[in-house]
Amino acid sequence: MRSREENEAFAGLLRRSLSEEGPRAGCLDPELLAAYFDRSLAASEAERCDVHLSRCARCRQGLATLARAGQSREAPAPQQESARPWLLDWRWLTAAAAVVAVATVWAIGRPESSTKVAAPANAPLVAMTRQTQQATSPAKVEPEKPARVMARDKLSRAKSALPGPEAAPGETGGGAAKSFAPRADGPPADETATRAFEKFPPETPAGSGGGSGAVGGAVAGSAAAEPKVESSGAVRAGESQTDAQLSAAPQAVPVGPRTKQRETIAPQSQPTPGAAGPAATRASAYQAIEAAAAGQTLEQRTSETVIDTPNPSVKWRISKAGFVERTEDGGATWFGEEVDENGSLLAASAPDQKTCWAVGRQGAVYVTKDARTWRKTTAPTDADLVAVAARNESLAMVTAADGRRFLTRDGGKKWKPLGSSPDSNHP
Amino acid sequence: MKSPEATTQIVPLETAHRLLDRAAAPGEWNLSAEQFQAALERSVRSRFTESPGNSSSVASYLAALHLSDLALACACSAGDPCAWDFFVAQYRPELFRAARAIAGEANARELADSLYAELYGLRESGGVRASLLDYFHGRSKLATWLRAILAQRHVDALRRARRTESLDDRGDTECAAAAVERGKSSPASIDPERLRHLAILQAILQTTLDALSPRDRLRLAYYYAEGLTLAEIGKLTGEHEATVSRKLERTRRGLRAEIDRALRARKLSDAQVELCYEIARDEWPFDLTAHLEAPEPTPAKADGNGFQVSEVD
Repeated sequence: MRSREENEAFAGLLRRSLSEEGPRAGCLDPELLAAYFDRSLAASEAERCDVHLSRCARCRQGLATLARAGQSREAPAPQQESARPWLLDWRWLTAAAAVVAVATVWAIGRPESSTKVAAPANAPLVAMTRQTQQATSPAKVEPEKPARVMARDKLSRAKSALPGPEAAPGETGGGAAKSFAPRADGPPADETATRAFEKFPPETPAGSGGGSGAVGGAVAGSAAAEPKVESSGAVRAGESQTDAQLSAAPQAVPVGPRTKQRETIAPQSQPTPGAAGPAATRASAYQAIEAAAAGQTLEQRTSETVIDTPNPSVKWRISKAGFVERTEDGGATWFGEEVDENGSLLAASAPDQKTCWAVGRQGAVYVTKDARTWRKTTAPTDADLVAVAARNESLAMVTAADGRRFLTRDGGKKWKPLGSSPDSNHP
Repeated sequence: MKSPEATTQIVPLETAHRLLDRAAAPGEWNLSAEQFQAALERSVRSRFTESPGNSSSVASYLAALHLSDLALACACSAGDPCAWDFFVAQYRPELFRAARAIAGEANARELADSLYAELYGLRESGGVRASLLDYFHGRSKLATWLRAILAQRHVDALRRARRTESLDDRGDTECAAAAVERGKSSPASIDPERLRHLAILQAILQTTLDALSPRDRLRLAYYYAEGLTLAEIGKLTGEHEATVSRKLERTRRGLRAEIDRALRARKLSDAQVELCYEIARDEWPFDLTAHLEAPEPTPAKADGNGFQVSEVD
């Protein structure tokens, strides 16, 4: 049997080899990527996508990112998660059906049952079904509405901030319900197909990246994207659309043992609270919807600490969400990662362009010397660290919330207490 | 609003009428059958790019489209304010939520806003407002398509900014850091004989990986390169989590056995084989052959700010 180290070495080898594959010609455009993810491609098309994805790291990374974004969206609250599975669990259904069948036979077989029950013939069956449900329902199940109804209600409350809907002329309820019926899973029937890979349209800056170079456009977009209209939205259609989408949304699946590992790349999404508050104007209604979806106030979302470096174009930024980002263009675009999963960074110091020290709660200290790889050092104390001053990648001093200061000369491996600062509130 | 394109009719108008009824677009979106017909034709042309499909394949294709999403995209692209209201109410929160999940809290707004602006259509092409929604053809859900754009843009931005190995988990990077501290820091410190062993290992590994079926290779890449969980892989491949685990293990075992066999065919001892894996894990260079050809280690390419340029760019 191979040793654990051998297996780890082999895993690392595979990881690096498979990560090195550059993008291939004919990368999947967003349409194809999305259709592949939704499994709505024909079998032959899906197979060609498999071939491309097996060789193209770029498309694979896009698909993986898409999967994680979808996973965070679909992860329901615990009570919602438990409500659906047990109800559709075949074991419960089988047991319930068996109990109902036995009870029915018993009820029919007993002469007294016909005199006690004055309801129609199926009433004992219904009564026994209810009793069976109550007897077998798990204790943790809460009698709530199905997940999709709850989500639909949330959306309805959010949209109620908009002007009230008007009846849609010519719209039939039956047709709407039918049209928004959920799609069947699985690809359509196989058909003669041609290679449909296409590059993203050249005039659309797909390759320019989401953040870089688009700040101006984003600002303009935010300002201009609010349509100045007074007419209503289509609430009925929206509700049906939501039903279709939610019912078609795949169930949350149990996450494997690598969940924690991936939290660094796909942080958990914020829970979506319920209704947006009432808004007199459309602008405030949109803001309320956005804030409600974000799950936090705008002030909290945008609070950041910017750290300068000797190069005025290069800055660092830490957020309360535990992210550390870096800009090379004076703040136009930022790139970074989640350094602290607990979101507890409080201060940072950047002695040069590539070195940065970040400190936070419970003695958390992180340092990078190449602007890419972050390393968590030993904690000088369990107290919250509220300030840091660094000379280089090895020499730094941190200040705890209680005023104590600690010095390291070896990049955080060992810390030496220096005593309290003169003003514990302002180290 | 944009006028429908004048094209050779692949989709008859009556078909467009029927499909528009199925889509049940609200009347206040003011989406005409002609506009929807144009959208359907764009969709069919994007699907059958090289050769026109026969009528039955086109009909099957149209029947499988997400018509309601396509109608919404078409109406929004045409600039209908009611449709846009609906889109904002339903999809903007989803857009920001996906952007947060993809790019993190700090970058989410920037990522989502830039896409949002393009969806609304702030650019003009030939005097006509160009909206990104023109490129939605209904082959997937609109929400999935939006997330796919965000995901691709985010990945492209990361690939430009840093090397792809930054997407590896931190544990692997820490192992490399530990190896660096042990003194095995750079290919320059490896003697040529060890370099040749690594080159052999790389070649054998590449050959063995190439021999895998696309599905097996993809499953392996999802797990090792992208770090997806078994459940996430199962959702992508349409397999149960247990099936993914079983097939991964089978592929990995077969791969390892084949590599070991090939190494031993080159007369490497057990200890040498183990050493190959250990060195490769700790300090795998991007292009080992370059190190073999040049006597001195070649420094990685870097842009003016010190970031390494990805091989893509």
